Amino acid sequence: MPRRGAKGETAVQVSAASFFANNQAIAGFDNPGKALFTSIRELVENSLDACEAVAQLPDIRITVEELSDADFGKIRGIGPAATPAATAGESAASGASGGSAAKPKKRARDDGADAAMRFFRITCSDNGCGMPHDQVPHMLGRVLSGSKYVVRQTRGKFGLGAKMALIWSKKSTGLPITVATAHAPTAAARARGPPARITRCVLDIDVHRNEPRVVSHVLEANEARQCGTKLSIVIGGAWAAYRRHVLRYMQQLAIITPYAELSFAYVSPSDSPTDRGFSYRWSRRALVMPQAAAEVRHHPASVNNLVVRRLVDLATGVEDEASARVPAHRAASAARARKPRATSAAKRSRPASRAAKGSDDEDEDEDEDEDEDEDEGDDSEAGEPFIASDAEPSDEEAYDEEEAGGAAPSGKASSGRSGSGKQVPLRVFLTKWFACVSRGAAKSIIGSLPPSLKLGEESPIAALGPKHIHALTVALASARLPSPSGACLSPVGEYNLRLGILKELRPDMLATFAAPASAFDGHPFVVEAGVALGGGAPDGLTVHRFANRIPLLFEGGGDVATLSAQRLAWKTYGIDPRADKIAVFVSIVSTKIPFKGTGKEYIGDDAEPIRRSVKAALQRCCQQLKVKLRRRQTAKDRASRAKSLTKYIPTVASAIHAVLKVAVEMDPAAAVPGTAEAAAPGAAAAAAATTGHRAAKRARLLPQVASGEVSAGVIAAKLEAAVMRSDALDAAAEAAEKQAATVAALSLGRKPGAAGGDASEARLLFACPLPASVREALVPTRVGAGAILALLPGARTEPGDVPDEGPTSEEEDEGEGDTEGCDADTQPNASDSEGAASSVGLRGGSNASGRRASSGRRGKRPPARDRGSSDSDAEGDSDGNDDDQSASDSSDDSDFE
Amino acid sequence: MALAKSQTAAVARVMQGVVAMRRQVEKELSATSGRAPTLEALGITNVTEVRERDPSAVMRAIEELFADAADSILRGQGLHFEVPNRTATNQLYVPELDRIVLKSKTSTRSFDSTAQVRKTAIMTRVMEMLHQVLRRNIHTTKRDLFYADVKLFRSQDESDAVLDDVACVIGCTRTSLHVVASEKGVVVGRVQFREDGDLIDCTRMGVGGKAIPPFIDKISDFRSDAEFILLVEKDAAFMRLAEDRFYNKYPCIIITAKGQPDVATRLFLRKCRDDLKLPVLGLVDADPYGLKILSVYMSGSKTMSYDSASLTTSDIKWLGVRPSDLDKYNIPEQCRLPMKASDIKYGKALLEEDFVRRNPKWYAELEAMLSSKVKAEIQALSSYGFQYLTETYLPRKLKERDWI
Repeated sequence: MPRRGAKGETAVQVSAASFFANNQAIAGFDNPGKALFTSIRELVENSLDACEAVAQLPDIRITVEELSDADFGKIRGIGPAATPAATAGESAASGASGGSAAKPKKRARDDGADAAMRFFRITCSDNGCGMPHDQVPHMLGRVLSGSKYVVRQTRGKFGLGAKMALIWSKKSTGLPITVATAHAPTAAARARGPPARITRCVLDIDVHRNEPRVVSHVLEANEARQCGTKLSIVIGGAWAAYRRHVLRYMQQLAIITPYAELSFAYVSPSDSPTDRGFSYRWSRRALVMPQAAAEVRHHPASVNNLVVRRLVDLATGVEDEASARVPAHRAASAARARKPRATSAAKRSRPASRAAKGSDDEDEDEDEDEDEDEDEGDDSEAGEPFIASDAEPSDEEAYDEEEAGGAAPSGKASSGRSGSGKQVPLRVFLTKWFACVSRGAAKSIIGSLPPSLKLGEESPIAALGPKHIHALTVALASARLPSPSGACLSPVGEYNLRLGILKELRPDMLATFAAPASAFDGHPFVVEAGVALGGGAPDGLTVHRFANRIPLLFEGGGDVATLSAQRLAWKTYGIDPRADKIAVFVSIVSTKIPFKGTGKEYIGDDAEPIRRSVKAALQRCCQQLKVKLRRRQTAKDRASRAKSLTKYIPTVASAIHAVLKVAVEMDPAAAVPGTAEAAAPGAAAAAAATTGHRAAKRARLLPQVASGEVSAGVIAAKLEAAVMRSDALDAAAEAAEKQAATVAALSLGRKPGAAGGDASEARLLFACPLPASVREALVPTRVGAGAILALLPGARTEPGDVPDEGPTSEEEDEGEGDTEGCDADTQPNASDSEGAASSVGLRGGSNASGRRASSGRRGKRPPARDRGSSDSDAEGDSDGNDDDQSASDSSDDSDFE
Repeated sequence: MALAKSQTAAVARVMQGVVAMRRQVEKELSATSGRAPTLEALGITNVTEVRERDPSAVMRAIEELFADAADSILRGQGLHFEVPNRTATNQLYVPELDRIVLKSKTSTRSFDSTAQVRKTAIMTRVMEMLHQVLRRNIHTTKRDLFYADVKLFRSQDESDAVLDDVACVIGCTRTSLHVVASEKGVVVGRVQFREDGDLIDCTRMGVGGKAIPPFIDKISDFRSDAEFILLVEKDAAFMRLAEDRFYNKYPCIIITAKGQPDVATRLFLRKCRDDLKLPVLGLVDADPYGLKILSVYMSGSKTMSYDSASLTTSDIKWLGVRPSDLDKYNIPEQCRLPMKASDIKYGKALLEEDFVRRNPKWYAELEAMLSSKVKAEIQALSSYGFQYLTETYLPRKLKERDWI
């Protein structure tokens, strides 16, 4: 809480920057290694946002240059000399927050890190929209907050962009940041070529006062033809421990943003004996960027008193964001010139409330993205919609919240609440300023307010006091409203997710699924999951988590994705979670991610809708894999079958031949052809009495053996032919069965494989061409597969080939649209028919229907989904003929006990 | 050996009951042997009967089977064997013949499925080997058969399992296939027979006795003046009886399999009983396992039940040691061992068996054993002296006709 002194200035204040500087663990700066990592990631995410803001395929380069002590000393020597006053100011300012810049060792101790602090220059360059020349100091040097009248999905957890890195740089080295940025706000501007001029700025930050301190700021000709921003900071950190995390982060980023070209280079210190430097490049593989996230109004389920208050103020024009923008900015700069203290006081009071909130759930301060904001659009002036105007600190404590974007006029007006601003009736306020509130809903909400408050549909909202606001909030929270739609979100997209995983992991098999949008606490979210088997992953289960399209690397043990993956019944899908290499990818995008823990590195398991969605998505992926695994297994079985059979042919052939040969030797009389039948009638009669036909066969064969007509080789050859033929017949028989089953299922108006499907999709599938005879048979009565087979010309089914899977096991397969729509179902009498399917015609037909089915199903998904997704396996597994297998031969085991 | 006159009289008194029993058995067996009805007469058709067959018949059967197979291969239909199913559901007990036959259900071993190709190949190979063995009219053991083609039969279990299949397909006993197991049982006593032409006189086999040869087909010409066959479970008891020349005093034939009976001993017992028409008295421990041993002699094992005709000897009398003997003969407490939980469980399972239920006295004895939870071995009798068994216990039992 700000304390007010006599002249309206506050003595001990904590600015946002200071707050985070003192609580750096929250922001991810627990130790030098993590500090380095977090700095890098913040810069990268910042750059990504900048590129996506102008729909530019990102090209981001990060260089981490470890500085030897000598180099660092040289740099430091330069810094202070340039601006001695600034240095003195800094030292005083940063005195409270940690050791002076002079001795690294002291700092290391102060920071409580066990790794020795070393120094690094991190340079991040991107090809984004750049920053307007005038705004560079403000965008980088000030930690700002914004108003909360809209929600939007953003990267980053605290909404501070790269601020924390800059603050850390200030804290650990005190050196200024260097930025070179060429501003090209729109695609059109870009198309005209690289910007003519480039801004070069060397900037320092006054952490406590939360304002920039410009060392140099020039606008010059863009000879290097740079596009975008290049930021360079010198920070303290430790490389060795977190190196793998950095690389892992970059790789995960490459997975989740395959349309970005990322490159990373590490330069070892100049005095190191061996050159441990390396560089790495993750090339772009996709040219499709997801749609940008849209802003939407708050959903009533996500609001609290403060938000409602703020919205009221905005609605009544007491605080108008449009007017708060430009004039506030100019006012701010003017005010700064005149009254530096007042401005900073305002800033300070705001963060106090933020501090009070701490790590509260209501983290709408994510929205206070300032610098490279998507909102920039054409107007550079509109660059910072959420700049705080110079507010007097007076009434801001009434807010006591982090989002008191507190403009002076609003402060006054809110406390007074006297008539200034528009007249907005309550009903209109509800329908216009909240999402998903219809007129009827607004009416019922108003109706549910306590009557003592005397609020009606037409009550002016300007007259709402704290009591009213509270009642309204309660009514909003308990209202039954439709869930917020996911259309405002910007999910990864199945296509990109697939591509990213494929290019980085090269798995054997991959299945992805994007769940439909759902909502949690009034915020919409979308879960997209992928499961990859085999490839370069380590054995066992690895879970990769993404939130709002950035990777989460730490504290995964309690994360909903990890726990869901562990709880999944892998065995039922034919996957062994211990032996197989399983890589699970879970990406959640939302306007507000319910992070847990101060570090905001994991998503809690207790959010029921999210947990359900994650589980469902993973299950769908596993179902797809199950089918593919089974198919692969069948194909393997088929391949090995022929091999294993032919192995035994020589043994059998020679055994049979040997015995018959011995028989010939022992009974030469029988070996003479023709005499066998004419042999002694007693012998014939005796033979007939026992096993007549066999004896006759023996009689017939022995002469053949004797003459050499039937030799071991002949027997072997015939046996081999029989094996091959039965193999081919098997394949044809199974295919025929499958077609028959499909057709039979269609006749019942069902989706194949489903027990009672949905008629609309069946109608879709009906569109496949069928032979006339079949069509006639289909319409009136229930037709079994056997009858269907009988109608169709073509191959025979091999007797004894009973498919061994019942309908229940296939039931799940119909769910996914990724495999061919007509997966085989089994019909009990399929095997004993003598008719069959025409191999080409019907198969082609069902394939077409399969594809149409997939597209039909695809069309039903939310439109935000990427249509570019290729439903079938990206590896080239088409719904082709060779894969139409469902069952292998039944194994007729012996009846031994 | 000559005995003193007084002893002869005492022995004669003891043997009275046994002799009477023998005469009766003789009568029964002679009566039935001639009138054994055929299956057709009984109206049972479409069954596979397993019988002893001579080598040439078996060879012929193999040749015919192979000719059938070759024919089917040459016609492009692959290789198939129809093997009769040996599960319990496919067995039919014919009480008139006191034998089990296999009904008509068969399973097909065919070459064209990966699950069966190995079995089929092994079966073919085994039949080829048996054909060779039979041709030379030699015998071979199961292990020998396995080693003949180790590469194909990766373990002996595979070649063993096929033997029963082959026997059923051909319709002969396993011994007809000339596959034998190594000898285990021992016989001593008043019997002479010819083994492969050699004359064996078991009265002159010293105290060790004659090892029962596994080639039952080479045994012939039984001659004996014994009154009964004594079937002993344990080797120790057998030694005692042999050393004391019990068979000279009380004319009998003493057979032991030294524990669980093997095929050779069972065959020999059956042949002995059938040829000499003698009653069989069993001397086993007073515990469930002893009873089990008797049951194996009597009804055989389930897997080879199809072969029961030659393997089983029905109507074995339980002479001792019975649970009721423990009190009757005042077996001291320290010889009575408590039954373990597993023993009791096993005994309870035995109560459900047919061969126990058929004989109410056995059932009563078993029940008494289970309720007293006490078991005893034949060795318990030694507490009264090492020769108590031969000098007191057995003679008293025989005299009192105390067999059930």
